[in-house]
Amino acid sequence: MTEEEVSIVKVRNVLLVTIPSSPSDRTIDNLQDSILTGMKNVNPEGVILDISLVNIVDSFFARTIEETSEMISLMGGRTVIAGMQPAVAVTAMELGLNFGNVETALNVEKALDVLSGPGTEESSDQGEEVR
Amino acid sequence: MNPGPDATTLNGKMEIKSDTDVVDIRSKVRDLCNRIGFSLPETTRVVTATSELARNIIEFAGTGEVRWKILENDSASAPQEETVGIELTFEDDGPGIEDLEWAMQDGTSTGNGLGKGLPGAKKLMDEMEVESGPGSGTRITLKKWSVGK
Amino acid sequence: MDIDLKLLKSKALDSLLSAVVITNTRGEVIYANPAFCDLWEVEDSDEVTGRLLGDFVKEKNKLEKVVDDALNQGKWEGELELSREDSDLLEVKVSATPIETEGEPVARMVTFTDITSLREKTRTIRRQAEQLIESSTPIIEVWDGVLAAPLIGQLDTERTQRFMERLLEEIVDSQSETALIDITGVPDVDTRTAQHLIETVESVKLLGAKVVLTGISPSIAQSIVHLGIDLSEITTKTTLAEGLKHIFTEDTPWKITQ
Repeated sequence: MTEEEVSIVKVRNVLLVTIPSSPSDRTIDNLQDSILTGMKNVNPEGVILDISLVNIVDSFFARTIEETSEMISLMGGRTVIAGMQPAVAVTAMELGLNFGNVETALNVEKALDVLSGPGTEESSDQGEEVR
Repeated sequence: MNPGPDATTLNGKMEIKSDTDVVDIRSKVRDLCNRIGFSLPETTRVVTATSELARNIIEFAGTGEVRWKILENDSASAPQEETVGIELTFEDDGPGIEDLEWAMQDGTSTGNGLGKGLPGAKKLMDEMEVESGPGSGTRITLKKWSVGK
Repeated sequence: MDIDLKLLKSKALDSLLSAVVITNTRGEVIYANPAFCDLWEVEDSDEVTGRLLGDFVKEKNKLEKVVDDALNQGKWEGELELSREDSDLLEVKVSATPIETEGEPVARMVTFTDITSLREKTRTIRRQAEQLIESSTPIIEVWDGVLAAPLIGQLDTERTQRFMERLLEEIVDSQSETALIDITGVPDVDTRTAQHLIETVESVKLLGAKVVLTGISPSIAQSIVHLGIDLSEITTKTTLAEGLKHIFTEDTPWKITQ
């Protein structure tokens, strides 16, 4: 699989970031910068990280997400991780990966509901705790 | 034996010295796991452990090697039970792990995340052997079996 | 009855089940046993003698390189995927050794063992084991977005791990936001099992869904408290019915609009 680009799109008042299946380290680094630029220009409610294509998450990737979500939080936004693959969830759990203060959603649509729907207190209980 | 890009030998090795090598070794290991019939979650565990330790090689030693081998186990105690597995060896001539016991504890970090990742890799695989010492490089061998253990 | 050892030895290779080939130092076959002829589907060893070893497989160069490499290092053993002329791909265990007289290599011996069926058998055993585990831990979609998994019997590590993997897959496949795990049928819970359950709940959260745990019997409740296990992060209800009621009436905006 050739290296694919990360796509960042504004949807309603949210930044939707789609991450390709095997992102290179450079892609991941650039991603962080792009998100922060996006945050500055658009001032969204939050950022959705669509990882439905990602089939491996190691500690490097998790760390990047954690850092990014911290930065997003400092800039006043929330981070939602959407579409984690089952095998990835299993491994992340077993590795005890910490994604930071993020929320999770089954897919992008639900992530949008989480960020801009009414009465979103319930969903913020889906934050991450490392074991 | 050095595998070419289209080699179908089930044993081989690869040099690791850059981030793209990490992506390549993950691909290779995934391919091997599929060949020997690991399930998707099992494959994901093996590939993730590979990614962690391959990164360690780059981070702590700059360059090193990963060797893979397909294993077969005809258990003498259960002759009907045939299992296959994969063995991965991560070797470098880096500074070595100073305090092995400390590195094996859950949650150890060199200050930038999960750091050495050894406890994680151990949890994901069935067997792990570490040979290392200050100044004498590191060799870590991982094994995972499929079908009964 | 005298057993002529020399005769036996010379006949031994012919009787071997493994395919054996002996080549000279130029790589030309000087002997092939019947098993070799069977494996590579040639009529008899006359067809084979004098030819190069690599002639019988499509991956000619690869095989010859392996044998050459081996002899530079003394021997080689490993597995290769080789195809016969008629294109059948076989998984084969190969070992190559030099034959020496007075310290000089005069020939090479290469043996082949077909492990294709071994591999297939392994895959079949795996599939059957999985089917067995799956049928004893069903996961059912009881409502749009709600899965129910009644667990029955002792929860050992292997079983719980499989269950967790399957549950996560089902959740993503069906895009269900709630998984109701009922442990009425689980006789007792030790620290390990409780740990697995907690891990399952945590990984479900990572997907963006949540678990409601039901069917905790009084004795299990006691064990959990005595063991000092903290289940406060997990929503628990006494019975499956209570669990369902909770799911349908809890105040979640997006469920109401479904």
